[in-house]
Amino acid sequence: MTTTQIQTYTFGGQFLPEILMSPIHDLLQGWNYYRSQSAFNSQLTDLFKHYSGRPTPLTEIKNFAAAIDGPRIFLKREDLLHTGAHKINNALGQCLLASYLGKNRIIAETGAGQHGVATATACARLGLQCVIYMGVKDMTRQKPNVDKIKLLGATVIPVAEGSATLKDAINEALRDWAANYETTHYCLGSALGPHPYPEIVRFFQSVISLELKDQIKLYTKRSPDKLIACIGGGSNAIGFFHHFIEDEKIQLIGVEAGGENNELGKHAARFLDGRPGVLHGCYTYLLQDEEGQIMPTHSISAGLDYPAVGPDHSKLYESGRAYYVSATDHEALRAFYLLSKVEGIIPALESSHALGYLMQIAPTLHKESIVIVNLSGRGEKDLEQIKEIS
Amino acid sequence: MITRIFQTKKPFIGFIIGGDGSVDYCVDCCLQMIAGGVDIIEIGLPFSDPVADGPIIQKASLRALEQGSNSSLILEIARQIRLKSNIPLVLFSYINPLLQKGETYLKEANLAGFNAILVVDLPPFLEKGIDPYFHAVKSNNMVPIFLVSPSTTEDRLHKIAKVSEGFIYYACQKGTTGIKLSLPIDFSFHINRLRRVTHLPIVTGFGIGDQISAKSALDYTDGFVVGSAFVNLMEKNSNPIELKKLAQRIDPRIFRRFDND
Repeated sequence: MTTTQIQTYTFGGQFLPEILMSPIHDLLQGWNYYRSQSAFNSQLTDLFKHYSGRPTPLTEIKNFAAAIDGPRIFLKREDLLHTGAHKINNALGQCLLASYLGKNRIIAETGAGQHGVATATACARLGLQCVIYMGVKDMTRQKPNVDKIKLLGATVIPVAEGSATLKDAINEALRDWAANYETTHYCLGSALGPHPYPEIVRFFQSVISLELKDQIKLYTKRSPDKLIACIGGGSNAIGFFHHFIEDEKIQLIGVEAGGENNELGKHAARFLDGRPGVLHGCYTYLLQDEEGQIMPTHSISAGLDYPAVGPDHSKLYESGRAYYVSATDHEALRAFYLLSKVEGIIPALESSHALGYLMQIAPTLHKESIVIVNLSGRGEKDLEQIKEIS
Repeated sequence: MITRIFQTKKPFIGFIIGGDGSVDYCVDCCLQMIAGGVDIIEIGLPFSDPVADGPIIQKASLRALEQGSNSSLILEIARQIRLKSNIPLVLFSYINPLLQKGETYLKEANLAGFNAILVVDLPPFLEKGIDPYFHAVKSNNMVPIFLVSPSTTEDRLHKIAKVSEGFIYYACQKGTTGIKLSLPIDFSFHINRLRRVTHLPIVTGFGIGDQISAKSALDYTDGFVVGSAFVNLMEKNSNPIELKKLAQRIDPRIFRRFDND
């Protein structure tokens, strides 16, 4: 393989058609203005507290730990948020930002449907018009979420192009934005895309680690040893890692979707056999062939089924600050069943990957060490999918 | 070569997706387009995720990839056209395939006959100046072509004009490529805006699919691009002669000549 690249870019950037350069610049300016405004921030804090259910609890799962012969394990319970996943943090933040920016139409892509539901919810609450792009393959495997999005008053536009999954939904959303940017805010659902999206999404999701820092101190009187989160685009993970990045004693672990096996096309593990390139406006690790064509991915969980990883994770990977591993469909499923059975918590298939990886390494860890897993979402949406497999 | 053509005429630029059909079919289509009056051929390197393109070109890109089109095949098409014609050839691409193939590919593209390159999702400059990719384009004897759009701000217009060579491509529609019924009402306004910052020829595209829109474009610009209308015929696997006929039907310059008589 490998021809040498002409030059490498720093991870991130703004690789967009000219038509979107002004809209992205306007967003950047608006964002830089409102992010530090107290009116904006207090309204957001209020929505988090009284509407979506923050702070989320921290739960120690002793039965699960015993069952896997593991260390002390805690779950950060983003699954308990309104709409059932961390996605609402970002959706509320961006939709509120959009209304401050004078945009009354919101578009969003969704894979697992969680970001679609969260955005439709935020729009309903804030009185904004909402259009959700979703791959037809994802619409089938996440039908309950499609129904919810419609119930919330949003329009769902099926995307049949390409692999008919998340990446194609993003393509369509970008095309919509290019045509309607004057009235429309594109509410990107993960910490990816052109600058400043990764930064915006990280900002809204970093509330997770902000809360967690105090909670774990209060609970255990010390810092955790390992943080583990699943990674699709990487928004739950970056929000979960953010306030711990400076404390280098804490190991940060991102778990990608190992899919069926290691063959290209059968998984979504970008750090396993991806290399840097440009997709959806940013330079980052992605799964591609030698011609630079984006490869199809596979994962049992729609939310991890994406060929690129957010650029912040590429930086953390190359600097060695975070580790990236993968868990297969099978390993995720084992964790899904076990957590449900012994703790009464049904995890999303996405979050099950983080638990699945922990199950692999648990016996090797010191019993007194503290591991926190970000339980990014709940698994009710996955029941149809599970039924099909079993 | 690209610059010279504007001294004698307002060129008609035709676009196809390279490898849509087969190498031979693409070459035949291009030769027929040339016979029909097309002055510059733009060949698109197909990409799996063409966000700047509307449905017709999206489908063509995926079709071409399924049929095995790739970066080498595009060069083969250029080489074969070069054997029969010396008209300017523009390579159109998204950045990722080019980035992955490295600088060698630029050298090969030039040797195969490409004179210019348009990268649709690589903005011309970083904060500190022109993007290094375009230095590589230039050092391989190709002209980098830049796009401006209805949303391009004054500040960007100035910067783009400053780094442009050959011609400037005004993508006149918001949204993506595809055939539209008429030019947008702000068309002349934006062309005038551009004229104030550049002396380079301006061509326009995104939406032109018939003689009326081509004629109204040429009232203001120095050339026009037709893409989706040709690609549409190739999707139906039409006889290449049909592309020649389409070119003749669209070309408003013939119409003009009668007009002036």
